[in-house]
Amino acid sequence: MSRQLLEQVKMEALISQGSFTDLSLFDDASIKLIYTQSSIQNARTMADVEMIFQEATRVLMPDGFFVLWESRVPRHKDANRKRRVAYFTEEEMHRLGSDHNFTIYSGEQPEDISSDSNRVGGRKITWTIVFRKILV
Amino acid sequence: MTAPQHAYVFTLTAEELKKTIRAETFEKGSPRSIRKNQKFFEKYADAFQPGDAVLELASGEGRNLTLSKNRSF
Repeated sequence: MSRQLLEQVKMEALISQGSFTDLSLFDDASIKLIYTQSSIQNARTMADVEMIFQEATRVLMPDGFFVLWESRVPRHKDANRKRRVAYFTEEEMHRLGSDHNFTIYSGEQPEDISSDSNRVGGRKITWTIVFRKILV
Repeated sequence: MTAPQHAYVFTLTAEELKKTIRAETFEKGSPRSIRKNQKFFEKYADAFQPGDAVLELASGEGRNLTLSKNRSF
């Protein structure tokens, strides 16, 4: 379906099936933006998530963006983390960023672009967070 | 080390993504998702140069995530 849509809009893209814990297909510092949308929450363990962030750090350009739209609260009956990570707490999200050389560029602070995030009972249930790789 | 069974990555250039947003090509996409992506590129447009590579990490647990389903850009 993805390929059909790409043909429909006359765009070319590399589509690859594999594991997002292994981005060896891509060179170091070759990507400007990585984004996820309710995807890395499907990683089975936090160790996998750590590997995703490691790989993101490697392939992103020095000022690259890592944009995540992921769950921030348990939303499913299987969200007990026996089968998958399922959601990210604020502490986890902040730690993942700082441990992997990212700064929070937007999303939570200082600027919030998450005003249209899903809310339940007035509480945000989705991360809309923009990490930017720290220049070293 | 375990890894998701269904993981997809694809790359487009940022310029292609912006064109797509302008054309609102993916009519079946969720309006909310389109707004989010428009908002991002409006905000950070100056940071991107033509030809910049963009990578999506997509996955699903038993779901057949596709470009249309996952919407994105």
